Amino acid sequence: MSAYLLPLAIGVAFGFTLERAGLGNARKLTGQFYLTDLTVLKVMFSAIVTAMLGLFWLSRAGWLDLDAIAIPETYLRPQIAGGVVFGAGFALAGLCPGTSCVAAASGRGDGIAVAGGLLTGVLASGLGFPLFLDFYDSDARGVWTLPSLLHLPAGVVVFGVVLVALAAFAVAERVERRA
Amino acid sequence: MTRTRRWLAIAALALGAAAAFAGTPAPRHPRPAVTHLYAPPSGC
Repeated sequence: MSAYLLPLAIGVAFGFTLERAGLGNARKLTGQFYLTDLTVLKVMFSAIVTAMLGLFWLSRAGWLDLDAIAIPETYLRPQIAGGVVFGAGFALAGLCPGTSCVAAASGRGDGIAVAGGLLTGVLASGLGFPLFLDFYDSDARGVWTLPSLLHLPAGVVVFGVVLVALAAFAVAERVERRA
Repeated sequence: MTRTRRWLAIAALALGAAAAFAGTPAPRHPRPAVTHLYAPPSGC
């Protein structure tokens, strides 16, 4: 039973925090593209830094084994194509998949429309999957991580990402003040 | 910048700098409590 309840509880908590951060609002999300509201960048970078430092130090303390983490492989061209489609849909709808569910759950009409479009798209791409199966499986690069690509120790990359995040926060605040 | 944000930034900086000195995140404990994790494709 916990196999169902735990993911449900995590999903509800994730949705609640997205809503509390204001990310169920399409105006706030599209502010990212017009450089008027950079909440998305700040929330995402905060999540990355928190998870990255947590994983690094939990591993260092011996509480979890980073080598046991299954990391999805990189399929470069298909993933770039997916990113472009995702970005176009995000800019057009004003919501991404997770936030469209949050917006729908809080009763917003645009959220319900986008979540409906999302499910229709999932069904259509599932039915048409054989058509682009070859492309889907192409350009496999194996598992890519920043430390292996940069040939640097993980701790140095961790520090670098923290510095980039803090710089991004400072720039974001300045851009928002000007908007 | 609020006081809380400033302290969070200082904490992140300190943990990041310490990580750079620590180098690799190799577990010291021979049998970690969590041994299998799956990092799903992320998205917002």
